[in-house]
Amino acid sequence: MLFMIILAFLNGLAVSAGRVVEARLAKARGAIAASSVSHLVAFAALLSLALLVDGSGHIAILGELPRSSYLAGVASAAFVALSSWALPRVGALRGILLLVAGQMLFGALVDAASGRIKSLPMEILGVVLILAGVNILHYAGRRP
Amino acid sequence: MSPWLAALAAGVFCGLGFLLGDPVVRYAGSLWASVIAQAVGALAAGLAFTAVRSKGKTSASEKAPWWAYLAGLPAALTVVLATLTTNSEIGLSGTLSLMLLGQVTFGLAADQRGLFTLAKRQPTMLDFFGVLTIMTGSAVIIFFAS
Repeated sequence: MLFMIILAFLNGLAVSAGRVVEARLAKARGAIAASSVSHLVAFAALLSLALLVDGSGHIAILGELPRSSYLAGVASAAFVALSSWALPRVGALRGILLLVAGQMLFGALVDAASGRIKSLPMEILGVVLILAGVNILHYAGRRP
Repeated sequence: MSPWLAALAAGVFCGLGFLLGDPVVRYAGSLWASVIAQAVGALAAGLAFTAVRSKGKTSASEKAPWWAYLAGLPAALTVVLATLTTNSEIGLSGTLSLMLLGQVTFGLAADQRGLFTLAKRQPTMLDFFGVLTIMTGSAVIIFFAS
């Protein structure tokens, strides 16, 4: 249990480290190039691992997947390009929190639309708190 | 474009990616789903880069440090670690909230120390208040609403 707690926390560190390093690459080569390189490196690493642990059996599924599922990669490309452009401009902490806020708000909207909510009042409370936090960070960023 | 909106929109695209990729995760597991998403992402960004460059719109051409090219490795590691912890006793809620804590910790350290050559920034009390509000809101959704 403790090991998994540490692992999940370390994973959070890795997520932010990835965003910051992408931002450094974007500063030198541009945000779209940084997104492309980051995806290419992650693809090579994950493909090697997948082939190692799982063999090539799943490659056959490529043609059977719904077309819309390929758009996940396009969304991911836009995500990395936008985040690596924005992060140095707003700061690492604020940038990372804004990413989290955008993700949580979108998730809440999808959950509400698909009726997968346990408690609507709690969902609304969470959304209001996140929106308030975004405004506080925005205000903090505008102060000298 | 405002960098604030760009960062928020990036978060929305990240969520959209998870939503669109969900059928692939169910079908082939999170590892193969990530392989496919990263491949399409590299292709999409590569095509966009070629289009922008052909219009002569790229401005940045500074030399990047070698380690900056390894930006995709943490992303790959994230997929593996998240799969391990989500399927353990801490589950999805535990994984999400601990990852959130890790992300904030690193963001704070990156600002204060100027890690990976980012500009040094000293977060204000107002920043901490904003961070705490967003984390509380996220925890409310993760544990009580979704």
